[in-house]
Amino acid sequence: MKKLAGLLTVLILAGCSGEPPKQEQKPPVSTQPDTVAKPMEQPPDTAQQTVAGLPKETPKSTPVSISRPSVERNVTIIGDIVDIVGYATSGVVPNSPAGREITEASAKGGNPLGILEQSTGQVYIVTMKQANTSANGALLPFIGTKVAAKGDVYRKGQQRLLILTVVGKHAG
Amino acid sequence: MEKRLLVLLLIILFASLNSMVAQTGEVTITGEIVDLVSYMASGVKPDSPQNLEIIQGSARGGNPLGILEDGSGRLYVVTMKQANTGSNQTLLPWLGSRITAKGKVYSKGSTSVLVVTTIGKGAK
Repeated sequence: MKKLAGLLTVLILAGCSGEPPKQEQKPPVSTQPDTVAKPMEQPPDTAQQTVAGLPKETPKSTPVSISRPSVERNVTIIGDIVDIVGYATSGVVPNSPAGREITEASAKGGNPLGILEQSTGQVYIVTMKQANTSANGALLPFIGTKVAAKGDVYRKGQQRLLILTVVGKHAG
Repeated sequence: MEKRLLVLLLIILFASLNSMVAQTGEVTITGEIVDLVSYMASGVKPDSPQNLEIIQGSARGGNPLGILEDGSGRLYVVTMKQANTGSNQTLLPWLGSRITAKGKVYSKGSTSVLVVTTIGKGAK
């Protein structure tokens, strides 16, 4: 009985050792978006280049100020394309024909695709660098393959956003 | 004594597992509609005609709208209960208003998704 109690305690401690809740950051006092309204800096056709040669890890910067969004520039995320809704609600990943079909149907219905980072299990909402352009069109061809995606990562609370500059099949 | 300890441990275990799976029963969230992209990248909220225009443009381009919860500041990706149905068309008319949304919240991999059942004008 004592052994069972000890085992349960270990399980509880393991269960409680997940990611701690992060403090929400105050959004900046600005009415001028610094990213979404910028002119296109990258031609759309570069979004699907192969980036197998990209470095696996990019140095990560620390947040500049608590009043500004936390941003890491030129980060490379390696992982799988997931339908954020299907993944969060049912754990659907496109590693089978059925999983791919579900993911594609959800994305075509207007739900956002994201990237499930292989090394951390974190999900990134993804958008294109071009203003007012969803990333679903760029990500759909890569469903079911491991990708390397490069861009700037923003965080608000627990949510993470990747503003995509390049995505391609990951060779590693 | 040992049985009581075991029951207590089981209760704590269930409570901690529940928080890991992080699926709620139906909840009510009060807050405002934001474009996830412009809010996360630049802090844009629908508090001026110019910002409303920015958010509408982004949402019509296919970027996901979400709900920024009052008080907690928590950000939810939103989807409809009907399968394969994005929520932008439902949320767009509520831009700039305080809203109350009912549904289930699912959290996994650092993201929280609200599967909306009903949405309406919120108090305040």
